[in-house]
Amino acid sequence: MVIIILFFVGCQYAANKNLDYTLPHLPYPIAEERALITVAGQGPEGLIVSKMCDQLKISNTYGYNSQTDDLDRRKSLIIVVGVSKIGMDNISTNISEEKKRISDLLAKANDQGIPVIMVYLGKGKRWDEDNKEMLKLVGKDSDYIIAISNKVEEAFFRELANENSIQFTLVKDIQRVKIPLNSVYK
Amino acid sequence: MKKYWWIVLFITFILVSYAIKQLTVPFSDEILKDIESSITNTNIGLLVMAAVKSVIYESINDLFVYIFAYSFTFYYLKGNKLIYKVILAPILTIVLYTLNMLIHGSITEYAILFFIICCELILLIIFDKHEEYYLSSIFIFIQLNFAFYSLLITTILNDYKVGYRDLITSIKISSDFLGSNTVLNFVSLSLFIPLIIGSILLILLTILYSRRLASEKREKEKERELRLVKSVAEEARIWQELHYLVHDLKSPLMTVSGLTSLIKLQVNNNHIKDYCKKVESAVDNVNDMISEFLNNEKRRITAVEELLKIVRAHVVVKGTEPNCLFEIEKDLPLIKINRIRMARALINVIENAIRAVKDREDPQISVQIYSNQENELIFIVKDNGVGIATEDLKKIWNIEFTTKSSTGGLGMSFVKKVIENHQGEISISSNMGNGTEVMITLPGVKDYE
Repeated sequence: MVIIILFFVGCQYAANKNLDYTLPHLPYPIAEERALITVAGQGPEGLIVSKMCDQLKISNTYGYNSQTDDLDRRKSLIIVVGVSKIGMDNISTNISEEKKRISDLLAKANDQGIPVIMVYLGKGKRWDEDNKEMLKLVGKDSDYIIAISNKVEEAFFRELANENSIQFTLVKDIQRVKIPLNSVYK
Repeated sequence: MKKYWWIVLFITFILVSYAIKQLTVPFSDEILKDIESSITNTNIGLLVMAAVKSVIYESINDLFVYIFAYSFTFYYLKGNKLIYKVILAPILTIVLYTLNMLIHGSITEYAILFFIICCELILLIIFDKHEEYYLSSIFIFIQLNFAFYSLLITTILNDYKVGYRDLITSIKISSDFLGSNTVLNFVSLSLFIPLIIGSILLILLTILYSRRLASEKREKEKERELRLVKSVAEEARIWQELHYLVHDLKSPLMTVSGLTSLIKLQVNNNHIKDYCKKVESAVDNVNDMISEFLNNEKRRITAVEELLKIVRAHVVVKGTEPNCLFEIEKDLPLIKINRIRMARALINVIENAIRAVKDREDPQISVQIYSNQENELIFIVKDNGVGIATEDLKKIWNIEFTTKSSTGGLGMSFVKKVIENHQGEISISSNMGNGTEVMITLPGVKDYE
């Protein structure tokens, strides 16, 4: 019983800790429209970000399985990290193939000089090794990181951003993602 | 093969787990489509539908693990102490749950498992030693499983690591975007509360029902004992009345005896005197019989032939009766018996045999009498009748036991009592459909007697 109470109190304490201050949004736009949005890991988060861009009147194309050719005539790349095994099984792919697809996209974006924005909506719910690896893969080649985070995940994003000298914004919930996302373009 | 049953069980578990995974793939694809549609059309209704479907999906995937662990504990440790079940059930459930998650390649989430194990333990404790309620307990367990799995979609328990599975996470992220967390919480609790209340009511009903059954069983047992006591009292009353009746016979017999003596004195006809002597002799015999009947302890050294004469006089072969074959060894020891009671006992056994063979096309009854080295007399009454069922054989000596509708059931009970009063033994063996054999052993008269 004591263990259970400690578990619940611990969870509540970790969840209620406030995030340290991060950049609320970019001071100036770093990307241009039209954006290519894809999801790294086949979660539904890519579609959500696309829908957000639509609401923000940011011209975008969403492709859950976008390939390098899809980057032609696009001026920015938004990669939403959300590794879902069921999602990957749904299109008969796996984590290795997804990593390769994302690496190819990042390489092409780098070649074309297209800014890359990484978005993570999973908070603690998708906080497993596959997602962390994908975040590291995308993060190192990103120009800006927007993530929903708790205190638990904050250190990871802070370290990732500092190591690669990337600007980042951590928010508490999904509704607050729109402000930094809008600041990328406007 | 029997030695490796657990390997077979383990392989079966893996195959079932894999089969369920494959069978539920179309269902998960459908849920993903619902989630995408809900985002695209900003439709909360579709998301709620996806949430309910995902609860069913997750339940189906894990349910067999819980039923497997519960059933294995329930039956493998049947008759063992409850503590062993309480230890084995959680361990087995955690191991199988982890194995199932590895087979499915999904994230292992132990928060909900904690509640399921609690339910499993409660059910094991409640239904311990009530194997007849296994199916009821499984039904309640399934209901509880659905109740707790409905908590996966609530966002209230997010901080407690509940609902971190792949599909559920997708639903929760979509719900955050659509602002439908309140709706999801409401749906979750609307499933959880009625299911939990239903389960508790079912448990209470099952307990009440089991208690009622136990009480009815006790009542029946008491009724049976009461019947037994009544039948013993009835037997005693019958014997008492029989004693009075038989005793009353003595007076008219004395009158007959006296009058016969008078007739003998007053007539000179030799024929009539002979007849009177025969009447007196017959009256003496009847008197002796009455005395023996009235006095159980009255024993007389008797030859087997003399006893059989009385038996044969009663078990007369009436033409329609089966053939009764007597095989009697020569030079049998004498026995010290109450002739009337012993004859009645043998007659009972033979009459039972006659009844048993009455529907046979070739009815056969044999009565074998021989002695053994211990100077004991052995009677074997064998028939090729319908036989006696094994469960009836145990009850055959009970006072109220009978297979006939017209008698009170004192037959074999009386026989046993008489034989045991004579320091004898009786045993019975029977094969259903092949006949019955009754063996009676009586001690022979010792030289000093």
